[in-house]
Amino acid sequence: MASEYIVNLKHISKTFGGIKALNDVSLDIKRGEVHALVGENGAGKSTLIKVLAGVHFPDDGAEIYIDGERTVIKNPMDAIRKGISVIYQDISLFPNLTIAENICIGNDTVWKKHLNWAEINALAEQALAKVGAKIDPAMLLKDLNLASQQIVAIARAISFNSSLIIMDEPTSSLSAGEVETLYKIIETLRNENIAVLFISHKFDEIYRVASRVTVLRDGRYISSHDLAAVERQELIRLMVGRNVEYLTMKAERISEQQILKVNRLCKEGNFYNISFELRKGEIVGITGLVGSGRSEIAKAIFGLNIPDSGEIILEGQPIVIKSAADAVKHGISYIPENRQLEGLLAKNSVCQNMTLAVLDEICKYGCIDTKKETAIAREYTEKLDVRPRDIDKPVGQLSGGNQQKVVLGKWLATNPKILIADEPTSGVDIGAKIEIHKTLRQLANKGIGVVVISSELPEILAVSDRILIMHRGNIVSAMNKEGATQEAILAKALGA
Amino acid sequence: MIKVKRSHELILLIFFLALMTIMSILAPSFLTVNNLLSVTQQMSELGILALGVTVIIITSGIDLSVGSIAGLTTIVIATMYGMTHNLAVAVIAGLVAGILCGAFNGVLIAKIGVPPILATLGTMTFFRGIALVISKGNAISDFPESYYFIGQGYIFDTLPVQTVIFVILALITAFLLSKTPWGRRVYSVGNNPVAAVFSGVKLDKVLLYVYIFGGLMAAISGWIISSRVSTARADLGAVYLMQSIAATVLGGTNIAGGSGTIIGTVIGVSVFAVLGNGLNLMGVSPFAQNLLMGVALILVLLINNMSIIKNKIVLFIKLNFK
Repeated sequence: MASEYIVNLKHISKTFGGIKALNDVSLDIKRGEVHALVGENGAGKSTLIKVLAGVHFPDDGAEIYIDGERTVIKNPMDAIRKGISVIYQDISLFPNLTIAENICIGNDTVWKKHLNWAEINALAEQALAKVGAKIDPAMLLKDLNLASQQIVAIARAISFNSSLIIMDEPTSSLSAGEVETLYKIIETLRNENIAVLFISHKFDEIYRVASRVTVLRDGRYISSHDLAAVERQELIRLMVGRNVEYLTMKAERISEQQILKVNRLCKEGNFYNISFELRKGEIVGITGLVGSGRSEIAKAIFGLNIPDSGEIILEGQPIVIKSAADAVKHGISYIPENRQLEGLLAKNSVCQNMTLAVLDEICKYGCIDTKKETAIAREYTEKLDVRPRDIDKPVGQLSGGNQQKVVLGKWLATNPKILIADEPTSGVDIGAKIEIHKTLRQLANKGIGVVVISSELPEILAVSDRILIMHRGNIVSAMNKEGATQEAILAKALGA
Repeated sequence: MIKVKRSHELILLIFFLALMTIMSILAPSFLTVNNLLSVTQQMSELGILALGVTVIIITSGIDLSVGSIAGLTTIVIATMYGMTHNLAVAVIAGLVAGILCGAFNGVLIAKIGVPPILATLGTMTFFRGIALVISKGNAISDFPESYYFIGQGYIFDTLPVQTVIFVILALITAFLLSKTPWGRRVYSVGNNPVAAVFSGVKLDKVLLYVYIFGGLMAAISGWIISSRVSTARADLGAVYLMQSIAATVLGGTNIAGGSGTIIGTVIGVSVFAVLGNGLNLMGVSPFAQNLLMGVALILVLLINNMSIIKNKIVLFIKLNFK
């Protein structure tokens, strides 16, 4: 007899370069239920679904049961054959193939050595009919809008007889009407006894479509609940967690002197009418959901995202920043959100990373002055306590926290006036987090204007003097540190 | 000054020394000062071309037009000499032509953003076309006696001039890569272009100079070739294109960019030269020589990727036999 659960995950851990993205996570999904998976950014949701989808192979000790039977998911195709399909946010299908090909590719029943197009089209039509979609299977995928492409992806999952369909933030780029269509399709899937794992940040839709929920935080499993028995506030509390206690450090003195002023900055599709100011010695925190425009603003100030209109005023002077090199020249530095992709030269040494932004200043007769270079690298590995103290080690071999210190060191070497830190502690363990917070506060006390962007509310509350909250490209609220609570901030960030 | 710190270069050096030993045993005339000097002479043209190619590949780029630039340079030198009868002016014009070709590649790639392989595939044909139009497809041999010094002359009656030039250029390139901010930026761009830009590196400027450098090296190589064969022809240098890329990769430069050294490339070029020379002395047919060089290249690349291959096998065993 079939098991009550379609999927059970136990003891799932996944380590990337010394960092535990998942730590002993479990997840149980019942046959035919809609199960919501929630957690803050970086809680491990994406990694977990990639383990289920066969993209990542979990660390030793993991147990995966499908339909009550212990199994191993070897690769993405293996996952699909075992009945697990994923609808990714960016769809991940083939734009230049037809709808029918997109639905049937890799499906052993029709995708044989000799393709029978009548069979393929029939299967595609049948799958599309099940989701109630009226789409011509002979069309190319790229000629459909994103919502219809998503429906094609769901039809593909159905044609593979999936018993679990994972949807990663499926409504993030849909209009209200399209969301309703999706809800109806999910309803159909439930009637067909197909389970759905639904990843979302939006509580309204979670309560609307899902019956159970699992909460992840910091790569760990927190709890699972029937949604009928858990309040929204309680869910937020579980996601945010109470066990993280940061040291709250007050500003020594915030001078009246304005160091940066952003005036009515606009960029179509990114952010609108952004105005704020930053004073010497102050830390301003910017928070909001992913996609609310936080990083885009930071990149605009750093010359990587040229705004349509508005002005940036540095120490009273309007400045034009057309490239990151310009920004560096003006004393602006930026710790990017994605350390691996945007912050580090993983194969290069600690020393070479730290001096990358000051190469011209450590030159003597056109050559790099090795003594000056190692002196700078030594100074900042000492000051920031980078471990191990080996400046010749490739940065990729350090732990996340130490990598971030290297990025920080690179910018401190430039003697910045302004430091913008985008998720400065993502993927960093708690000890290193507190150290980075301390360093940011010390920098502010030395007169550097600091902007911290973070999704982690306790962090924002601990480090900022003032908090700006963004929702869909607008600053919807500004709070002083005193009187701000996580619940109030989250409510604003969710657009309530 | 140049440290052999990476294990790949060490493996390659051992491979090279083993090759030298085998050659000296199998071909008694191999290990003589005269023969070894002539080996260095034979490898210089390819070597100089490979210096430019190495720098380009470190940025994760590629330049398929270097052979054409070398050919065009020979035509420009010959034509300018025919017009002015001033050798210095002619050679300078040839080198300037190489620089301009490199700059043209650089603008296409760095400023406009055409992928390097496509941009230089186009300019490969374009530059050769210019050379063919100027020369009307003919070989030009109207050079003065003094022109042959570079490609055929000796310093102190023993050192081939082109060997000396190759050594000097290799030292300069190694210096530029390891000691100057430009060199550091070349590596950073190849390692992670996004992070480099995020650190204030001007990507377009770095790439522009990289392709200009490649063009200049190709021009110098073309100059030497035409001097050695006493002829200018549009297709001189074309044979070295694939060899220069192969020697660079053999020398440990990562085709995906970010790492590579001049000493590695020099050893890579040497392996090809020693193989060619030694097999010649042993009387192996040129066809079999090609085969053996291919085998050597594949062998070294497999050794280089040993860890990746090992991981794949381990995962395969884990999934299928457990």
